[in-house]
This record gives sequence, C-alpha cells and structure tokens, in this order.
Amino acid sequence: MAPGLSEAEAISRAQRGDADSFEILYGLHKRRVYSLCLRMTGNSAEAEDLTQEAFLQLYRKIGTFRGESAFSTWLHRMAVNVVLMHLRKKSLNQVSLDETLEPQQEDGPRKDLGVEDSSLAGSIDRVHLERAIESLPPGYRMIFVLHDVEGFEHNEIAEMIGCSIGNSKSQLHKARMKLRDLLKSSRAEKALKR
Amino acid sequence: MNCAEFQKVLPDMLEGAKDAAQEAHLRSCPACSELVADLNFITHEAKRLLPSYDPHPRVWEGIRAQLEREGLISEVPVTPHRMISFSHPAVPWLATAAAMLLLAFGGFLYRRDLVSGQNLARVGTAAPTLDRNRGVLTAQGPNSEDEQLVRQIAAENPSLRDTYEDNLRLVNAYISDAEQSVQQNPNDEEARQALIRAYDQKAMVYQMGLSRSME
Repeated sequence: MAPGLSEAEAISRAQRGDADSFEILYGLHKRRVYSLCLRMTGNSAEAEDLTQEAFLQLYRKIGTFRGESAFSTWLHRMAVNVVLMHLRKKSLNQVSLDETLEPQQEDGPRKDLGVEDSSLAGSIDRVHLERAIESLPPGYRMIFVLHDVEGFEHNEIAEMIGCSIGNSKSQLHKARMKLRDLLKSSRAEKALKR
Repeated sequence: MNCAEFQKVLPDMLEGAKDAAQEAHLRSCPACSELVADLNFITHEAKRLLPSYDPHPRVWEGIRAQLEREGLISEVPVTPHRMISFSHPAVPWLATAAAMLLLAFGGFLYRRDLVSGQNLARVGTAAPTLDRNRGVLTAQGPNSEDEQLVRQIAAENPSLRDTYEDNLRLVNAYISDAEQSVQQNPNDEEARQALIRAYDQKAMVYQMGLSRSME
C-alpha cells in the first residue's frame, strides 16, 4: 500500500479503475473471503474458483459501493451470494435443507456406544472443530458457517438462501447436534488409538 | 419437564432466557445439562475460528488474467509493496524476525520431508519444541518479536495496532492448538497440515508487517 493510503482511499481509487488499488483490496480481504468459501464448500478447488469469482464481481461492482455499510461487510455479503449461487447450481442446498438427521431418541440426548460421556469443553480444540465442520452435510455446514462462524442473523440467512426463519433455526440446531456427534466420535476414536 | 420436552424447546432456549421449568430440568438432568454445555461450547468456539486459509497465488493470477481478457485492466505492474527486501535498513529486526520465522518453518517442512513412517511421529513432536526454544515461534502467547512488530506497526499507523494484535493473538492460539493436536496424534497427517498452515500464517503476518514497514 502506498504510504498513508487507507482502505477508504484504496476503495476510492479502485472505483476509478486503479488496478493497483484493487490488488491492495484483494490482499486485505482474500483470506476472509477464501476462508468463507472453503468452509462453506469444504473443497479447496471450488473455494479458489469462488474466491476468484467473488473478486471479479467486486471489480465489476465496486463502482456501486456507496459506503452504507462497511466495505468488508459489503464484500462479504457479495462472496456469500457467490457461494450460494454456486451451491444452488449444484442443487445442494435444496437437497441439504430437506435433509433429516438419523432418528434420535425421543427421551433424551442420544448416547453413542463407546463414547465417553463427558463435556466437550477442554477436550476439543479448533483443529478438531474445523475438521468436524468439514464433515458436516453441505446444508448443515452452510447454515452453521453463516450463523455461528460468520455471524449472520437468521433473518439474513433466510433471505439469502430463500427459506423461512424457522427453517434456518431448525437447521442450525440440527447442524450443532450433528457437530456434537462428530466431535464426540472423533474424541472416542482418538481415545481408542491411545 | 422431561428430556423430550426440554429438547423440543432447546433451540429457542439457547437463544434466549431459560424459564423456571427449564432451569429445574437442567439442574436435575446431567445428560441435558451436558448437552447444553456442549452446544454452548461449540457456538462459542465457532465464533473464535479464524479466517485461517489463504488462497493460492494462482487465484490472483486468474483474477488478473480474467480482468485483462475482459479489457478492464491492462497489464498490472508489480506494486512496490509486494517487493520484499530483507536488507531494508529501516527495519532490520523485523526482517530478521520474518526471515527466522520463514527459515524455521522451512526447516520444519524440510525435516518433515526427510523422514517417513515411524520417524514422522518423532519429528512431529520435536519440531514445535525446537521452534519454541528458538523464541520467534513461541506459540503460547506474544513474544518479544510479536510485541516489537506491534510497536513498529503502531508507530507508523496507530489505527492498525489492534488489528495486528488480534491477528497475532489469534494465530498464536491457532499454532498452540495445532501443536497440541500434533503432539497428541503425531501420525495424524491432517493435524500436521494444520500446524504447517498455522506457522505459514504467522509468517504471513510478519511478511505483511514487513512490507508495510518498507512502504
């Protein structure tokens, strides 16, 4: 970045077609956009393609950015829409939103045989959590990443993916439950190896 | 209230306050209490996940090529801030720190590639210990190089201080987690890859600081 060039100035210059400034914006935001794409798709090749598409859209649309929201929020929303469009094309979201978890016991939390019955706190780190998120079914992963990782509200998610707020809440809860199962299984497997 | 009734209202309860019946059930039911603790833990940890992954340089190359094809830009020159010289006189300590970090990380990769099979386990646990002894790669918290980086950045642009402090804190925590995973499962390739990514990210934070200081 040129001395003293703020992000706002880089945005302003990029809006006037300055490619160097656009590259600066890419450098500032590539990690967050790529991480979002990777977490939502679980596939690095797709995530690279989608990151590329998100920044191409950014270049084409940056002239319409008026600063009503933070630039990072605006870009992030654009990236989410690129990913969702991609998932729609793959029809994954429809399949996944209708996904149901395996039947659960009605009279209490499910108990997995061989899984030690103790809280996850203290025994699970971020590496395991990242891996478990990758293992979630695509629909659950999408809702979980959007809400719990990226911080979108249910009304925003419902609007973005075209479902009801109730559906978003319900899918999120199922995603968290599934994640808990995955983490407990992972911990049990680890214990067996020792 | 039994467990089934409790779990029916659980999604809403997690987002709001608990009523007396729910509180009473939680106190009397270890299974539901543990379930709530786990879900709260997952939610809390998810919020702390880093934007941990950097795209391969080919992504930018692809963007640039596409913009050129569309005639939106002509050839993009290499910008000065991307040209890193470790001999820059203004920031010798930062250059040294970044170089040591990259060398240590490179050494970790090199030794990792040299060995195979059972030896991998030994190297997997040995590398972080060695790195920790070198000081620069201390993963548990900020070290003197981290603090120096933050001071340097803050001197040039005070508004970036918090960002760099946050980045270093998060990446140190990520390294710590990844180290722990490798130590617990030395043969787990995914854990090892996570550790490599974590070191890579710290090196990148230093590189960013270095390039910023040389502008």
